[in-house]
Amino acid sequence: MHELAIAENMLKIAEEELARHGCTKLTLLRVEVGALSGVVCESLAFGFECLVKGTLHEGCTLDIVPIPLKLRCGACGLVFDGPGGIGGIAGAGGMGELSPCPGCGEVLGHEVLQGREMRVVWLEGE
Amino acid sequence: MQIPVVRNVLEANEKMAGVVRERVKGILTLNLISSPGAGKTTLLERTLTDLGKEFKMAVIEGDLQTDNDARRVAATGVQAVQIDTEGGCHLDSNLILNALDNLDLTGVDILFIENVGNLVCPTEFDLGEDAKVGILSVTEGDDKPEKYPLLFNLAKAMVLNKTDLLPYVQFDVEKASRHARALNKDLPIFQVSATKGDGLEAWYGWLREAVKAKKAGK
Repeated sequence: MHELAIAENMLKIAEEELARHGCTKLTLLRVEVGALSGVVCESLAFGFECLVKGTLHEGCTLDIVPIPLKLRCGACGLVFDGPGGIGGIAGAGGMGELSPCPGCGEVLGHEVLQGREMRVVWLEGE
Repeated sequence: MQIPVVRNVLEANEKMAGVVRERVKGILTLNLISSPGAGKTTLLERTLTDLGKEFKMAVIEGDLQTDNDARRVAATGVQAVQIDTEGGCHLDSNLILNALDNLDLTGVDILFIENVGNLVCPTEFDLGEDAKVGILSVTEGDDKPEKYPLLFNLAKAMVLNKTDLLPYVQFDVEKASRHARALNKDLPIFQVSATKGDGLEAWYGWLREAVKAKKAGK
């Protein structure tokens, strides 16, 4: 639901960076979105498309790089990958932070090492 | 031209949240987040009435459409300002900054921000608050902390409302609490009935301590 607001923020950052580098037209925007960020990628792509439509940036490629969930077990300290998928509230097809540790089976108290990202990492313009 | 950057997408919101934080310095500012119907407004009405003599309070009400909640809050005699998000699913720090222009913060001890009823989107946006308070009710699923981990991870307190209905619903308090604390080890959980008044004293105790800590500059 809030993906349009997030797309607006992304575009604003991109426009600032373009201006700083003497460009006006955005041709590619790459963002990293973590599995736990609460962002539905399809909605983000749709929101972004709506924003650039009819502007100078129309046709710009939005490259969404999913960042998978990485956890450190709260009991035995094992570092492991969370359930795959992205775009769900707690990681599609899994319980996100409450995933069972493959080492000891603990589900509670894991530390999130990776998966909360939401950042602009690359853009191309002319 | 290729431009490598690393910029947080919500940095503009975070920057504005810092401005809000300056404006509300010394005032305990709480961001109340729950699903629709969990009882945010009822809890607020009750709190404003019961603590009205003890603290000076103010309320920012976020709503999709109506000003029903703002009117309910204003009926308690407390200063309230309405933000109509016109369908928007969350409040952001810029909206709070605008709302602050319409509030007299002189002598205010506690500023409550009642977010739009939604457990997902509001959680992402820092409003310049001291603490998010997650409100859950026993008429919802007891797996809410599992399903919406970010809120329960970030919240500094959780209120479990409508406990007077526990005999009539299938809600496992122990399970919900265990999952919430798995996400947030020391999370204080207050079991209350905002309509009947049960359990509110512990919630008020937490508020008193938080006001004290805020005034002491902690």
